[in-house]
Amino acid sequence: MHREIKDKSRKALLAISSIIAIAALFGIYYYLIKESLPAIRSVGAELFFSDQWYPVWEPAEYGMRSLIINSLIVTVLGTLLVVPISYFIAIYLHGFASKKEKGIIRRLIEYLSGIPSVIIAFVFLTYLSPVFPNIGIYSPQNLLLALIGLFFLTIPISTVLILESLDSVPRELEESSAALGALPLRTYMKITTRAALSGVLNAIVLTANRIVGETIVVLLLGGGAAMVPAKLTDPMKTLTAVIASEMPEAAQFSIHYSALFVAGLVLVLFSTTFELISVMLLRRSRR
Amino acid sequence: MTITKTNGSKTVENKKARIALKILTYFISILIVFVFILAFLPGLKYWSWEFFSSFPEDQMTGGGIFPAILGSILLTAVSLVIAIPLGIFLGIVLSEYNLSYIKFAVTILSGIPSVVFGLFGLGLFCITMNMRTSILAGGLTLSLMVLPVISSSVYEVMRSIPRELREAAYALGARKSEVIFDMLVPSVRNSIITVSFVSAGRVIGETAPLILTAAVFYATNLPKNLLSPVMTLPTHIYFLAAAYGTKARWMAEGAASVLILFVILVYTIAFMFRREKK
Amino acid sequence: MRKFLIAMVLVSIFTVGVFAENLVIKGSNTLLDAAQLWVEAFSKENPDVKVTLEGAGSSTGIAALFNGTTDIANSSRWFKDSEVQKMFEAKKWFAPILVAWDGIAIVVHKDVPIKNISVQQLRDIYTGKITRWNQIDPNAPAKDIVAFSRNTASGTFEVFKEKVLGNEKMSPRVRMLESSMAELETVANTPYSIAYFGIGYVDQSVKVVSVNKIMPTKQNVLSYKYPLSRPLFIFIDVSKGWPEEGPVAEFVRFVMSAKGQQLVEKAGFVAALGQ
Repeated sequence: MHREIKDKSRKALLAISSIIAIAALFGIYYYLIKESLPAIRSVGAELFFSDQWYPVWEPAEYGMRSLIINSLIVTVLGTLLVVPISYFIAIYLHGFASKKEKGIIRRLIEYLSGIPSVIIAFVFLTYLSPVFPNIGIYSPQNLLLALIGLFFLTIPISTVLILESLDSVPRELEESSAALGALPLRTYMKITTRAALSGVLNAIVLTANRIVGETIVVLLLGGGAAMVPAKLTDPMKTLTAVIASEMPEAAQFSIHYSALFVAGLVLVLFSTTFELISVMLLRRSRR
Repeated sequence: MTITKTNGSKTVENKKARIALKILTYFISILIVFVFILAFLPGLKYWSWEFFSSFPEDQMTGGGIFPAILGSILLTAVSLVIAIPLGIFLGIVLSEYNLSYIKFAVTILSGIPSVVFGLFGLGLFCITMNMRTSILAGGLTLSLMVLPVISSSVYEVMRSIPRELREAAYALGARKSEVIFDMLVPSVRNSIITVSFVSAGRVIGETAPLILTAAVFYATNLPKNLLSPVMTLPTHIYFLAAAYGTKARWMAEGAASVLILFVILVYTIAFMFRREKK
Repeated sequence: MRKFLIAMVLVSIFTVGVFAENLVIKGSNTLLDAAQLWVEAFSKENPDVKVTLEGAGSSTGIAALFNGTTDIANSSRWFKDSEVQKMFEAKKWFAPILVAWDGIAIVVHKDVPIKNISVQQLRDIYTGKITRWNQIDPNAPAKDIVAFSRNTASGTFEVFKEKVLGNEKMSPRVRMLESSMAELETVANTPYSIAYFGIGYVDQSVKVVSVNKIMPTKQNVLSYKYPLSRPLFIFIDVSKGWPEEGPVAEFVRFVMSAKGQQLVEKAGFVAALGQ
């Protein structure tokens, strides 16, 4: 009897946790869509096609095209910056570093992954941002500074993910390549990488997802201008930054409030796309 | 693991590549150490008993960060109390019951940006459920956010337990739930502890969702119950960096040092347990 | 498992806990300095009221009043038409209490050689029509004007938008900063920069220019001779009647008292009462 109750209650807890997970996912989507509808209904396609983001003017304009483009620019440039460097670091750690080196550097990178984004943003804001006016750049916070902050923020996950996929390739592959006369670097880059390809691609996708969702670093370092930067040293604002900075001033039931939920919806669509790609890649690697 | 191969000039080329890679790795590592130093050291000189035990005074030019430290601890505790048990159960479901749609849901959830969780939390917990700006709203939001992380890690851990263990237990007549809870989970206790500490590290540093749901810039008293707003270390640093100038920078630096210390401590404990298991 | 249950019990005890008086104040960044002084002094006299304060911008305070997430909204601007409309629709009524007078100071970096600016020139700078300092004064250097503004949550921003811009769109090249303090520091450190914020925040590190030949002195602000003068408010929700008791009432009484108004002057503004 006692055993029965334990069994049933445990199963119930397991079921509850599953229900909560699914409910959370549906809940988030449902809530985002529900709160976005007012803006979508009254502003319509202008939300996505116009780049005039003037939500507090009368008449207000809610064009988030620049914000969407900026989120994409930051993601693409950020990923392009981080992934190659972390790839080569992973190659070094996988194939050329001594066990001790690998352990220490990997541990260092894992500690870095724990540093809150607000601290990274604060450090660069305090020490790097003032340099810009001194070298003649008019905006002390800009795309470049945000990218630098994002670099340090994402180098851990990118490096660790790539390293783990390289490490998971069976030794025999590398050894036979060496036996055939290939040099280590070539082996790693051509053979190991190809074998771990879906893992490496997965690292790229997850890094991109991390960047598109990052808020504090781009908010404090990006510059806050709702326009697409013409050069690296121009200020800019992303979807995430606009939500964090404007949500407190948007009252419920206002179009501004609803438009910010639309921004959130766009972000969720981006991240869901990235995650779906990741799932597909992982499925491929299990084959 | 290194492969060595001697072949005249080709070795020289590879040596160049190897040196280049080494320089790159060390360069980036040194930069990382530099960032740590810049984040941690400047604030140390502000550490004092007063700094840790008093409230901010004189428009952030004096006093201390006690309410922020307490707020961070409270929020972390509330969110983990909810998320860790749920996460363990969910991780068990993921590994022992092969339901692809749950796996799918958790994966999608894990990628959702933190600020969107904040948006959801603000709309649902703060406004609709009338929790206002409170520890409870923030804690619930954070627990949702960290749930996929915990459950994925628990899933990986459970998955790595060899099949034979389970088969042996079933052979002895145990039911599924008993196999799971009486045997498997205790056997990976250390890994679960690791996971808990890592998720604590994650939660302590969160800023964006809390700005929207739980944090205020300045509180005169300690939070009296779960429905009070709080100051937290990361949101305090954010407010000081964004809205206050150099007069208050000292406080942000001091708070940053404290926060980094917490994070390093938490991660070190996590690593310790990880090693023990192996 | 057991540990978890114990933790849950402790957490719930904490929840039920002591029913303390909470007073939440959100809103204007301009009033933040004064509000901090108020809160510090008020807490000393009323130690069992737990006050929390935030100053992310007037619009955040008003939005919080609508959302029910604040008791008091500090504001450096009056209501927008849309807010009045919303009050009507939501059947809420927010009462204003005038607590101080302020002038929005136009502030430039110390090296900028101009002494006066007209409202029209200000408008042209902030809408992007004028981009160099020598377009304001031919004797000034031909350098780009680096213009800063408060962000859209700010009441100061709204007043500036109304009185200076005439509701024209602000050029996206104008950098938006989150607070008056940030503006002060940035202008002090950025050559060829210009910004605007309440006179309470001005200090020696920057230069104040006169607007239409009038400086934002206390007299000029009070008499409204200074073109960018404005009142500063506290809004409270009076939909259920005027609060005569409770923390909100106590706080309002304090702000209106001699001590409270003294603190307004200490923060650098002009007291509303007793002038």
